[in-house]
Amino acid sequence: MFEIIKQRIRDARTLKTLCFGAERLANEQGQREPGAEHFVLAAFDLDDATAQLAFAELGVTRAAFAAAIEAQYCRALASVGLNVDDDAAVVTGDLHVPTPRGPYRSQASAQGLMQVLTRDIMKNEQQRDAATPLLGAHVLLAAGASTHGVCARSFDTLGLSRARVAEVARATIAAHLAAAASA
Amino acid sequence: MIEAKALPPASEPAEALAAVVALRLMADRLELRAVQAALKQGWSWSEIAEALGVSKQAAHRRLAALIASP
Repeated sequence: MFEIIKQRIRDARTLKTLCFGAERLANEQGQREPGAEHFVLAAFDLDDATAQLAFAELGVTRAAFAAAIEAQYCRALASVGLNVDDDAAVVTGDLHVPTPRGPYRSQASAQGLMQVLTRDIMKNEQQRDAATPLLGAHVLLAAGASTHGVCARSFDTLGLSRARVAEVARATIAAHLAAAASA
Repeated sequence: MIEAKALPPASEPAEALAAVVALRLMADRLELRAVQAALKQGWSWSEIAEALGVSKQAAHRRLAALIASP
C-alpha cells in the first residue's frame, strides 16, 4: 500500500514535469498554451526514457518529430496556396513568449491527451497493477489515440500508423516494467 | 495572392481544417511579431488596437502578457 502511495506521488511529479515541460516548449515557439504535440516532445525529456526508446523503435528522433510538426503545418498551408520554405520555421520557429502567470492552461488537444492518459490508459494499467508508473511511452500511447489534429498529422508525415505507434508504445512499456520487476 | 482554386474542396474537410489550424497559428505568430515591432517603434497600445480593429483594453488584455519583458 505504501509503495502504491509513493508511486502515485512520483506519477504526480511526472505529470507536473510533463505539464511545465510542454508549456516551456510552447512558449519557446510563441504559443501561450501547449498542445498535445508539446506533451509528446516533453515526454522525450522524462527520466524513464521510454518515449525515446519507443520512438527509436519507430525510427524517429526527437528532432524528426519536431520537424514533422513543422512539416504538417507547411503542408497544410500549401494546400491553400501558401508555399513556405521548410527552413523558414514559419509556424514553429523561435518566438519566445513569457511563461504565463495564473492557473495552468493548455490547448484542447493537450486536455484531450491528458484525459486519455489518466482516465483511460493509466486507469486500465493501474487496475491490472496498482504500482504501474506513468512513463513517457504512455504519453506516446495517448497521443497515438488521436485521429485528427497536429499529433495525428505529424505521425502521418512520418509514415507512422496509429496501430504501429500503439504497438511499439505498449511493447516499450512492457519491456520497461519487466526490467524493473527483475531488478 | 490566394486563389480560390487553391482552397481544399469541401469533400476534404480534414485538409481544410488542417489549413485552418496552420493559418491561425501563422496569424497569431505574425500578430505577435508585428506587435513586438510596433512597440519597439514607439507605437502606443491605442495605435496597436486601432490597427487590429479592437479596443485598447482588448488588445492589451490579450497581447501584453505575450510580450517578453526587455
